[in-house]
Amino acid sequence: MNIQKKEISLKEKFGLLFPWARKKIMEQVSSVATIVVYLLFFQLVVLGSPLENSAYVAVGLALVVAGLAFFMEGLVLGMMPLGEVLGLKLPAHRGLFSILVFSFLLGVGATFAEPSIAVLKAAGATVKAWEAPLLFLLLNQKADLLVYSVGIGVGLAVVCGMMRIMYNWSLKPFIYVLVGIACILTVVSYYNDNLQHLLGLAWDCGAVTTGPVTVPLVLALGIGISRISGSGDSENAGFGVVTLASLFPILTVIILGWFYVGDVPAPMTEAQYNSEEMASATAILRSDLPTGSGETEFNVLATVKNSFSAAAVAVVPLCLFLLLTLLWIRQKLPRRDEIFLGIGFAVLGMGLFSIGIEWGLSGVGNQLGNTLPAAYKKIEFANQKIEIDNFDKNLVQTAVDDSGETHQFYYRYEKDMVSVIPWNEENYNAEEKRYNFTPTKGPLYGNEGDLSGIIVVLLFAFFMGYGATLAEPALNALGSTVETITVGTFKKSLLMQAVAIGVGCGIFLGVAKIVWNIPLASMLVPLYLILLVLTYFSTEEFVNIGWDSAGVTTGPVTVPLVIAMGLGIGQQSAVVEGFGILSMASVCPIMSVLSVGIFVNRSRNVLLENSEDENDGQTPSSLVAEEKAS
Amino acid sequence: MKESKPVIKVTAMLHRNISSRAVSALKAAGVKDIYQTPGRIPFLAYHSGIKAVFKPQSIVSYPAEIITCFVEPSVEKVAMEILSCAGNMEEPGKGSVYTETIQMSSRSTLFHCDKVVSPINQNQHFYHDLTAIQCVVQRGQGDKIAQAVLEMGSAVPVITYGTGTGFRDQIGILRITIPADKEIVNLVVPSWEADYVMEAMISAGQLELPGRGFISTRNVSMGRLDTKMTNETNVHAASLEQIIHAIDHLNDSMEWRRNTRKSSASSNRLFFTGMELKVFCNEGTGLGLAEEAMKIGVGGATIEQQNLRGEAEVSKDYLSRAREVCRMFTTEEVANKFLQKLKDIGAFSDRVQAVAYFSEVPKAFTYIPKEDVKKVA
Repeated sequence: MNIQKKEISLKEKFGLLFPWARKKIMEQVSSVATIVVYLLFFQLVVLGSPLENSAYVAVGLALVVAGLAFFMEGLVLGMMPLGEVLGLKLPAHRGLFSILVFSFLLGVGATFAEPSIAVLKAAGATVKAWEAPLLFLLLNQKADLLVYSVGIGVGLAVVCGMMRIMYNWSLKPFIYVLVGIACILTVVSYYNDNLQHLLGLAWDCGAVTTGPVTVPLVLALGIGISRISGSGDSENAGFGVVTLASLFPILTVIILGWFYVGDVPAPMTEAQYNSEEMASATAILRSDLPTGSGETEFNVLATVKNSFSAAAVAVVPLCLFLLLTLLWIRQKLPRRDEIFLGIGFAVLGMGLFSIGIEWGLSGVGNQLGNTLPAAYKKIEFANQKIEIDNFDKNLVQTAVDDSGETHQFYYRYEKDMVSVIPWNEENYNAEEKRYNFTPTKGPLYGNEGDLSGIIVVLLFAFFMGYGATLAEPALNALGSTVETITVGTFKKSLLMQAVAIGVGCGIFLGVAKIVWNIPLASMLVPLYLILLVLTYFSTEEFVNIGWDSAGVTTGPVTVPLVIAMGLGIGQQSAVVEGFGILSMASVCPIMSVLSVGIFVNRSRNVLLENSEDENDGQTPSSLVAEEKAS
Repeated sequence: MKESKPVIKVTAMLHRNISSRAVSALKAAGVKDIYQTPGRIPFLAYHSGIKAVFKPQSIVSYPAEIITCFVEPSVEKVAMEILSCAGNMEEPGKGSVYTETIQMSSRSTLFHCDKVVSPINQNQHFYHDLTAIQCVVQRGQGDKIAQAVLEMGSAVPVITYGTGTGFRDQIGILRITIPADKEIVNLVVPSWEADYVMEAMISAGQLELPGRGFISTRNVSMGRLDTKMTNETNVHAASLEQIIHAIDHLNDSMEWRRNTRKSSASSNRLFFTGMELKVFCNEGTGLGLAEEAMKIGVGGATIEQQNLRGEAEVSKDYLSRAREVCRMFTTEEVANKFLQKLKDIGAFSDRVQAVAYFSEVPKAFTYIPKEDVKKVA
C-alpha cells in the first residue's frame, strides 16, 4: 500500500475521531436506553423500592454502553470481514471435506468459547437433586458432557448449514424434520418423570448456544460461501446456520438425557433422598459435588480480570482459528490493520460490556427479580432481618376481622412513620426478650395471588424482553447484515422491532409458565406446530431471516435479566426449575418475523399482481401474441 | 482509446421476482456472462387511514436486481427484446431495460461478448435519446434522492450498495472514522429531462457540499423505461402510468411530455466532463486495483459487488462467481495510463480476471474545493 499518505494535523485527527466516537456511543445509548429507563422506572415507581449500590449501577451502565460501542465496531471492522474473506476463499482453494471439517470445528469451538453454558448452570442453581435427579446430574456431575453434546450439536449444525448454502438447498425441509423430531422427542420424554424436567434445559440450550461472537462470524462466513458458490438467488444468502445451531442441540441434549436416564433414581422426596436405603441409588448424584462459590464477593479487580479473560477466550481462539485456516490456504488478508484493530476492539468491548452487565444490568435485574413477586404476593426480605431486643410484649395489640377472628399486631415506628406489623408468637424469644422481625412487602396490587398483581408481573416481563432485545449485540449485527443483503428492502429497525415484540411475548408466556407451573411441553409443542404452518406459507427469504433471528435473541443482555427474574419468581413460586423462558423467547420472535414477512410479501405482490403468477408465468401480452399467431 | 472496440452493454433493472426469468432467457439465448447486482426499487407509497394523518406519503422499497451483459453491436436490439419479453416490460411496474455503447479496451480471455440468437421475433419498440444518471451518496441518503426523482415523475430509480475509496485511504488506520458505505442511485431518463432531474437530485442530496456525493451521466442508445412510481391503486379502467405508457407508444417518443416541465434548472453550477472507467474483477481484488489507480492520480473509486451468473467458465483459481466492479471517474489521459498499468500488473489474467471499459461522461458534478475550481474551468 504505497499510496501517498496525506499528512493530517493532530487537530484534524481529533476532528475525525470525536464525531465518530460520539456517533458510535450515541447509537449504543439509544439501544440501551429503552431497557435501562424501563427497569429503573419499574423498580422505583411501580414497585416503589430504592435502588441499592446505585453508584456501581451507574458505572456499570456506562461500561455497557462503551463496551457495546467497541464490540459492535469490532464486529464490523474485524470479525465479519474475516469471516467473509474466509467464506470466499475456502471453497475456492479446498475441497468439500476440508470445508465440512472446518465447519464442524468452528461450531464446536464456538460453543466452548462462549460462556453461555455457565448461564444455564446459574439458572439451574436451585434445582434439587431429589426433585429432578437427571437434570441435577447433567448440570453438576456431568456438566462437561452437557457442554460436549451441545458443542457436537452446534458442530453438526454448522456442517449442515454450510452444505445447505453450497448446494442451495431450502431451509424449510431442515426445519420440518428437526422441529418434528424435537417435538416427538419432547412429547415422549414428557411421560418420563426424569426426562420431563430436562426438557426446559434442552430447549434453552438451543436458544443460548449462539452468542454475539459466533453469530456474526458464522453469518459472514455463510455470506462468503454463498457468494462464491453462486448457485443460489440472493434470497437465502448466508442465513440458516444460526437456525440449525439452535435446533440441533435440543436433539443432542435430549438424547444425552436418554443415555443417563437409567443411571438415576426416580424423583423422590427430600427425606427419601437423605435416607439410608436410597444411598446406593443416589450415589451418582452425590459424588464429587462441585463446591459452590456461594456468595461471590464484590471484588472490583477480580471482576475486571474475569471479564477480560472471558472476553479474550470468547474472541481470540476463534479468530486465531480463522486466521490459521487462512494461512493454511495461503491467502492474504486484505486490510490487515483494520481487522486486527477490530479484533482488539471486540475483546475490549466484550470485556467492558460484561463488567458493565455484572455491575449495572444484572444488579438492577437481581434487585428487580427479588422484589418483583411482591406485585402479586407477600414476600419476605430475609436479608433485611431485624432483631428487636428488649421487646415489651405488652405492646402487642389485638384486632378483630369481619368474621370475629382476632389477630395480634404491634406498631412499628420508623423514620417518622408508624406501620402495623403482624405479631407472630414463634419469632419471639421469651427468655432473651428478643423479637425477630423480617420485613415483608406486597402484594402491591390486589390481594394475595390476585390476577391483577400477576398481570403487572407479566406486563413487566413483556416490556423487559422488548427492551433487552433492542440492546442485544448479536441481533444488531444480524439486523445490519439483513439490511445489507437485502439492499435496504428489509430495514434493520423493522427486524429489530418485530423480534423485540416477539421476545416480549415469549418472556410473557415463559413467566406465565412459571407462575402457574404449566408444563413446558404443552406450550412449546403447539407453538412450534403453528410455526411449521407459518413456515410453510412463508417465502424462503423470510424463513431464513425469521428463524435466524430467533437464535440470536437470547444473548448477554437478555439472559442475565431473564435468569434473575425467572429465579426470583421461581423461588417464590416453588417450581422445580426455572428453565423454559428462554426457549419461549426464541419461538415467539420467529412467529412475529414470519408474520411480518407474510404481510410484507402480500403488499409487495400487490405491485406485481396484475400479471404475475396467474398464467403460470405466461404473461397476458404473450398470450395475446400466441392467439394472434394461431 | 487505443485498441478499444465498441461493445453493447445491456442493462435491465428488474423486480427480483422477474429477474430469474430474465436470466434464464438470456442463458437460453446463449449469453454466457451475466452479471447480477442486488438492489432495491423505491416507490412512493401513499398511506390511507390513520397513517395518512401523520405521514401522507413515504418511500417503500421492493427487492430488485440489475442484470448486465455484453453483446455484439449487431444483436443489440435482439438482446433488448429478449429481456423486455422475459420481464414482461410492456407493462408498467416491471422494470426498465436499456443499452449503452461502450469502448471495451482490454479484458480477460475468459470474458465473453456474445452473439445472441433470439427465438422470439417480436417487433418491439424502444425509445432513443435517453440519458443514464448515476449518483453515489453516503449510505442512508439514497431514499432522499430517489424521492426527489419519483416526485418529478421522471423515472424509477434502482438503488444499489457499494463502498467508496478515496480520501479515507490516505489517512492510515484513521480511515475507520469515515464510513465507506455508499448508496448508488441508478436511473434512466429522456435526455431532454436529464438536466432537470439532475438538478433535483443535486439539491435533494446537497451534492454541492463537501463529502456528499458524486453524480454523472452517460449516454444511452436505446431503452424502455418503467413509469410506475407509486403504489396508488386505480379506480379507472387504466392506471395513469398505463396511459402515459400508451401515449409514449403512440408517439414513438416521450417528447410529448416535455411541455409539462417548467424550466427549473436555473443552474449556474460548474459541471465537468470526463471518462468513466469501469473495471470488473474478482471479489477482493477491487480494492487493490483502486489503490493502483489512486497512485497514478485517480481521485477515488466506488466498488460494487456483483455475482456472475450464467455459463461462464468459473474455475477455482481464475474466474470467481463473486465479482466486483470498480467505477472511477477520470480523464482520458489518466485512464490510458491506468490501463497500461493494469496490463503491467497482469490484471487481465491471473486471479483478477479484469474486464475494463470506458464510457464518456457528458456531465458530472460534485463538490470541488475553491482552489481547484479554476483548474477545472
